[in-house]
Amino acid sequence: MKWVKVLTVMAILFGMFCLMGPAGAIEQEMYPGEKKLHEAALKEGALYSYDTGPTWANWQGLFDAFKQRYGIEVTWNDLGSGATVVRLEKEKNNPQADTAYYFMPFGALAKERGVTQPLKPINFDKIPNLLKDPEGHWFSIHKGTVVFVINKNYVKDTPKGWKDLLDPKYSKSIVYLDPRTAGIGYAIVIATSYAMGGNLDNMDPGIDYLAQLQKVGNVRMIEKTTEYDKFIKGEIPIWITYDWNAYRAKYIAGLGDAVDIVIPIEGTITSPYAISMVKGAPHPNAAKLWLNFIMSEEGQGIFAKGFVRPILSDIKLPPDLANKFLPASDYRRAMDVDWVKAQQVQEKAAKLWGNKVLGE
Amino acid sequence: MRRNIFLCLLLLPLCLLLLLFLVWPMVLILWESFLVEGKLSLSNYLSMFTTKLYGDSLKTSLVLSLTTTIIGTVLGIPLSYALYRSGGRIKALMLSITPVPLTFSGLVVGFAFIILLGASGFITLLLSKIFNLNPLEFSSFLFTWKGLVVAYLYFLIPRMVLTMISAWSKADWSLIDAAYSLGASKWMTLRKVLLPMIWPAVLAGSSLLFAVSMGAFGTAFALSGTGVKILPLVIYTHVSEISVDIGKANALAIILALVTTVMIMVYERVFATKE
Repeated sequence: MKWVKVLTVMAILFGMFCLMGPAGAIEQEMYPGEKKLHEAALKEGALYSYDTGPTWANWQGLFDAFKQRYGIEVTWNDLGSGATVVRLEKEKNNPQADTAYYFMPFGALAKERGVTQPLKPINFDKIPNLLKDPEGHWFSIHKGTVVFVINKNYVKDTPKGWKDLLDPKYSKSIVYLDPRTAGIGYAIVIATSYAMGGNLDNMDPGIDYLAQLQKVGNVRMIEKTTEYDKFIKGEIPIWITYDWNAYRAKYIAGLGDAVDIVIPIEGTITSPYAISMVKGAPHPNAAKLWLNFIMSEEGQGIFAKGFVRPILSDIKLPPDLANKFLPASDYRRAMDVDWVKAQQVQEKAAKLWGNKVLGE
Repeated sequence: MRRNIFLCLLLLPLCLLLLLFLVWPMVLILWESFLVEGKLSLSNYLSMFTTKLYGDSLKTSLVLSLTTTIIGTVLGIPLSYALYRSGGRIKALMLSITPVPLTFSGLVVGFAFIILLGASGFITLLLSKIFNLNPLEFSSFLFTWKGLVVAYLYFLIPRMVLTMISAWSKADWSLIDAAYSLGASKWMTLRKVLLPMIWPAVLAGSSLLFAVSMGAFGTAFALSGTGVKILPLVIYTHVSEISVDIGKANALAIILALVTTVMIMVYERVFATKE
């Protein structure tokens, strides 16, 4: 009979459901107090993580692993760094977020606006001093290096550095993100400034360079949202972006040999990304559990698996994964920047870029 | 008297809805556009004149919207007439397909055009094979305001057609016959009889196209990023990451709404007298 079949199927499904859950029983603690924190977090039952878009920097991998270990679903949004700080300020009297993730300079801004609270997660001591707030109002969790990603189907001669990009053979080829709207765009302005002999006090050389790139007609478009998909689709010959996007296109999306990754010879920069616990977080224990997990060896390893370089330098990668990264000698050309200062001058730089590059 | 009260009661939900979702947000935006660091100030509006980028963007927005409106209107009128005249199955089918472009999100429209006209797009590859063009050079127009004209027409023409279709159906065709039988020439009939009949719909349709293309955001955002200088994209840059400046974004939004409304009002006032 029909209903017997239906009942059987339902019973089997129910049985499978029971076997799956309850997820997140911890067998061995990663750090002392993890079990207790987990119990408290389970009572809160939710976690709101601002600006951790799942396709950016392998956040999806972290969400999945967190859910598997603790049985807590991460609720996220993807606002952009600046908008995140504005939103936290607006919600100051009635906080909705537990944690907030941003381009590192925005961590300092968030602290200044009084929307963060100090927290020192596990492995806090191992984060380089310049890349964290001493009290833990914000701390860096991973970094990215500005590189060129080349689609060799269009580009026969791979450019070696910034100056090469001015060559007319790269007409209508280059895509990068808008410095007015994205941290990576601003990182590109800083990178070109240093490469062209400027610095944080004098970004004109970099912006003049980008204006020239625009003027000679080599810039295809200024992107904001869908650049990764456009690159995979074969719409972007030369893409200036973070290294993890490059590795992801080459190894995860499977473009393989059609993709070249270049760290420009004149030099580039490495940008850190940071996270904070929000002041008055509605689920404080879940927030702590989440931040500890991100800073744990497992969490940091998940970044690495998505080709996002973790902030902990002693994370051991499997050799086949480690071999896929460009050699350390290339990465030596990527310098670190005084990000606290970079945050103070970014508005000015964004305006200058808008006027000089688009203002023609 | 009692009927009036009944009517008012019927209108109440609509009024509340408008108040809550149109008037109230507008008031908030207007109020915040005058606030600079907690103090009342006009500086957000003055920056419209001092920052070249804002002026440029308004100009590009107007050029883009006027171009799309004119092309959309000119193409939409004969198309809708042909559709109205075609009978039976074809008409029914076309009428049910026409609104489909209006249901797609801007992102979908943007990507559809990339798949057709992008560097590795179907049409681009076909044309570059036949005419031996460089696909990169050929497709680069798509990411400028000219590309936006093409993409906007995709969702503007159906709007014009749908507005006009009802005008054609409501038109009193016996008047045309009457004009002919009274000895009017074709041109005269067109000008004195047909045009006045459909003119209100043409006005309404073209105003709608203009308003939609002034405010359209999703398609431009997905297709051309933030490099094209149009007001909706500039507003976006002020609510995202580095250049967050909600006051400026609010002021620009008010200016966009104001310019669009005033343009449409003037347009309808000027041309409505022809009736």
